[in-house]
Amino acid sequence: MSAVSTTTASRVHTDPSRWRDLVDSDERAEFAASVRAHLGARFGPDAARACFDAAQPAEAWREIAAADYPVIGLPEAMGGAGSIVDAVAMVEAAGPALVPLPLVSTVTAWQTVAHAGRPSEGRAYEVSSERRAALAVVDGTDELVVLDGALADEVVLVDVRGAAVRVSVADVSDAVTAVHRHVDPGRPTAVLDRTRLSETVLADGRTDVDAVLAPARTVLAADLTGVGATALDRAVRHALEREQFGKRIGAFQGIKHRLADVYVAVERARSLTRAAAVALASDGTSDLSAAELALLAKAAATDAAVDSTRAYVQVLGAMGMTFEADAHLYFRRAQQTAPFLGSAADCYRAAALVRREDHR
Amino acid sequence: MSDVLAAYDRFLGEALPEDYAARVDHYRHDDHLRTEFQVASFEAGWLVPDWEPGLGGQGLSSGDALAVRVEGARRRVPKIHNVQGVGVVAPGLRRFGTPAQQDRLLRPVLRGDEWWALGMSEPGSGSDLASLRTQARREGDVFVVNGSKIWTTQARESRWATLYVRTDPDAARPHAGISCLILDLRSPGVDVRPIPRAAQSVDAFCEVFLDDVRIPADNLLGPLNGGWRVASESLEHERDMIWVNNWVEIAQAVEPALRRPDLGDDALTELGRILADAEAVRFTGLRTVFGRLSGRDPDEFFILKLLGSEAAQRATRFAMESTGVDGLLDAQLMEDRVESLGATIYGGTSEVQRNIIGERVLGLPRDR
Repeated sequence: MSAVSTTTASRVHTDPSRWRDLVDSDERAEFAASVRAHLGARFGPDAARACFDAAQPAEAWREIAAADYPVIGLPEAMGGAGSIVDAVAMVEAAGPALVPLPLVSTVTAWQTVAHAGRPSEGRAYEVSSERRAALAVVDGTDELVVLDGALADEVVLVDVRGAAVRVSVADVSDAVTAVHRHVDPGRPTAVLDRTRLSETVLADGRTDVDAVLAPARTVLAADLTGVGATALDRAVRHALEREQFGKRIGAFQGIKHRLADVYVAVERARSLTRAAAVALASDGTSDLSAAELALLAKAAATDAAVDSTRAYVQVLGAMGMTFEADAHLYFRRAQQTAPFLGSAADCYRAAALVRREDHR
Repeated sequence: MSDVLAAYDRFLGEALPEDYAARVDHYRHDDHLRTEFQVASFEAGWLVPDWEPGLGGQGLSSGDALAVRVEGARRRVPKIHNVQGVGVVAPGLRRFGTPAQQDRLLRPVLRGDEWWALGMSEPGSGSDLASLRTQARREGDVFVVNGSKIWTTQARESRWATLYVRTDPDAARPHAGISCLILDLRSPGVDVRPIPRAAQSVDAFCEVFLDDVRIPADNLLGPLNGGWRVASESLEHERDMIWVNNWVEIAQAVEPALRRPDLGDDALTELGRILADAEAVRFTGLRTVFGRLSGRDPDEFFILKLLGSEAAQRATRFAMESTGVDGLLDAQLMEDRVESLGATIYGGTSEVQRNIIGERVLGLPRDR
């Protein structure tokens, strides 16, 4: 018996205490509860349903700006406070409200800038809550398909075509060529013509695409987790009220086990999303890369949101197929957000490749 | 690295062979090393690090004890052979045992000198444990026990068993009529019969027949008719920590695939899904730990058994299928695969776990 190499032990940090922020402090829990109450009272399913007949309520952005939600979790130099963990808690808490304004797209855009590294002249890009933003990934043509881009004042572009990933920003002005509202009119897809944008480069020092996209994926994962958790909550409430064959349908194992599996999917997504945020906030001191965790989180949250909202429709029965029931609104929100920054399958695959690379 | 982990690293350096990390798959089957390592861990206070010195611990905080457990699992330290002895019986003895019981029994179980079996399931009482029918009748200063137990892991190698018996057949609720007795498996009237296993690596389980077995009344563990509490509180310690091993096992089952450059898109997607499962087990486990430390009783705890065991099964399936025909040439792959089928059965089946989540977490009505 003699010494094993000590280098194997010190190479990887497994000390669990660095993950303490996975669990909300009282302060953050209170903040999330206040976001949920505020946005739930101000928006909610009726506001989302109204977007089928009228435009998004653009004037209501003033209230979101007044609460400073768009800059929560940004560095002070950009005009924010707190960390991306706070932003993730805020976005998840906004889930039940189906906010019909580009809050999530704005947070994805600014968080991408915040983590992209400083421009060469060293000045941080300052943002304000009044400005709405969206994120575009440039990987092929000049036609950019942008989540919730219809109301954006600015667009952050992540150009992944070169050896270095370039992050830039541009005023949207008249670059929107089409808006598609048929999936989720409260969060439409916009098409932007890149040739009409005048871009300012913010950062081009990084080569790892998945690392640059990690903050945005984490924010989308928080959004999807919030939507999935809300749909589950509502499906459970229905299963507790609706009676068939002489008992509440939630007593049947067919329903109970389906909802239990959804619960597992939602908590799986929540754990990975929080872990990705903590890894981003602690800047590379964890034993897993934030790039991999964000991919896993986006994949898991996509699975959870799509499955949970689908189960919500199913548990409602025929009522779930009506316009008046809220289930389709949450299902639409999940389907609208699911494909951006990689489908679940894309993200799982990419995460496996990241792990394989790290394993070498 | 923290001081605690540095000290643990030094201990591992002394307690394990030099080539341990390189030949961990070989040492996995080295029973002699497993025995020695358990004794060394006990003596040096690394076996249950948050317990007091003299009982396999050194009074570490639960956070530091967790860090040690994570590091041990990651380094694949030799597994405790009679794992239910250290993980379930010892915490039960420490919590409910009389001073005399503790003096006689705690040290040998922690060192691995005396093995223990858990006498819980019966032929008619599997998932529905509270319906158990093995009966104990008080006669003077002994209990006279009749009945049988089944799926009793390592009963043949064990000296003792925690035997759950019905002491009050008239109790209002079936849970309330159960007691826990400490059974000396060498007692007259005890007949242990091993059950042939589906896989070599599954620990041998047995039937235990009890025919007028006389157990001293002093061997009652915990209060009379308080057996349900003894069972659930004994299981708590392991219940809160088992995810650590689960996380590492899932990740390790797919590790060989990470060395292969030839995986197709579908295989990579499945691999990513399993990595997500493994990390979700870890981070949900950590949320549970930190949640309890801040005084909450976290609901997400209840996904750990279901997610962990189902994921372990997907991982062994992936390990076999992604190697194609070559996988059939590796006996260990099939052993691991069959063994993983048990993970969704023992310790509460997946179906029971879904009932627990549906009823205790989501608040859905009971169907019984």
